[in-house]
Amino acid sequence: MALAAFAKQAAGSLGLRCSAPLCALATRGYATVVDGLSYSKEHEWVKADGGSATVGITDFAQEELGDLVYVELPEVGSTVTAGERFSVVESVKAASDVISPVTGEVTEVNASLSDDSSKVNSDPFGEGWMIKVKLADEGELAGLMDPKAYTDFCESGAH
Amino acid sequence: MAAAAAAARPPPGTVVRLLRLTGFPILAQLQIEEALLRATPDNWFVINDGTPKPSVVLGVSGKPHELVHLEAAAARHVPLIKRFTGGGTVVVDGDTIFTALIMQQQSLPGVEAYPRPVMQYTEDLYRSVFGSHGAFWLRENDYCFGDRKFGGNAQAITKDRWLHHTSLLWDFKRDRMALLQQPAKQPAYRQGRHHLEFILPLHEVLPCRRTLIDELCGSLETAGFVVREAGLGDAERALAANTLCGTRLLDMQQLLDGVGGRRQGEIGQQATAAAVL
Repeated sequence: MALAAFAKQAAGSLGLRCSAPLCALATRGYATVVDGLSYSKEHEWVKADGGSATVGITDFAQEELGDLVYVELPEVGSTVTAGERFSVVESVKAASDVISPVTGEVTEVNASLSDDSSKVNSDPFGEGWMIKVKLADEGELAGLMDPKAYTDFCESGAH
Repeated sequence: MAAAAAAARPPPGTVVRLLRLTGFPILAQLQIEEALLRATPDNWFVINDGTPKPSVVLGVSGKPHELVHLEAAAARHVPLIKRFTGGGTVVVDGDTIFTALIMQQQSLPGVEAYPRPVMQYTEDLYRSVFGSHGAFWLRENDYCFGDRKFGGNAQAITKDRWLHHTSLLWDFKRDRMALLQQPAKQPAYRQGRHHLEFILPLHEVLPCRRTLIDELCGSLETAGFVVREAGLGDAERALAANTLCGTRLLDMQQLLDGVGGRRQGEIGQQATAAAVL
């Protein structure tokens, strides 16, 4: 019940409609997957909107990483490249690379994360968003997973 | 999941390349470690017996003015280094023994490339070395005997590769340890103790430094790896190939200027408040 409420809130803040049936959400114990987003094998989510995209890390990723104490983001105007690091986050003494699922120019970063990195843990699909990108190649989105495929990927242990 | 990580064994024939260093500068060592992580597909164990120049090493998010007595460090010509891994701040010198384990996730099925599984694995790995000498455990992510910490550790994770490195205190100089401020975030078991009461020099517990180093190297075969000796040339090739380097020497003068600027700002705020009153 709490999982569904969280998912509805997260989806709402992204301007998405959350599918009511729980079969649209992750079946792994704690990880939420939101409809309407695309997912990478490195556990980032992408919300495409015309030629732009919002990027963050998934609920699965934030749970595995633990409480984040630091988030380093790229500068506005810089270029991110699919498959390469665009951010570093720190948790439990570990600096973990966050891999970009798309290529393009960074148009906005979530500067509030420098004061409150916990948003990535508490609201990974909403207030924990990390960057917005003007896409260089919208075709890259086709190589990402839909929510069902990502759920299966998480549950398979292939990650 | 925790049990799976701790008990993980590599597939037969899995190789770890062993790089042994002695008295190698810590700045260069960290840069090599990062290069081995990012620019090679191999598993590595790097061990360095001491660094020639005492240094303060901060984690990726460390704020020097909050963690180090900067003016004292400057007066003593102790450089500050920002490393590419997470974790806290350490003072290192010739009595620090460094290890770094760099691993491809596929080499240890059951150890996912996330912080907690990695530390569960390394706790078990190092238990084979330290377990017979006392109440060894990983306590709130610190290597301890009982409630005293003898080794700092930190990690870096990129895609399906991870690095876990440690700084083991064979001994330490009290006046150098005093360069560190009490961090705002401390593990609960520290109970507010000053560094000198919280930290345990290993020479008080272990009989021989050379034996410790040999046993640390030997832990890899015990863990099921095939160990192959590597040379510095192999590491330096990785260094040349690596394009992402988060380890750097901090500019002390810039740090001190920043402290001065903050103090001016505080004085200005106090003057403003006084004027208002």
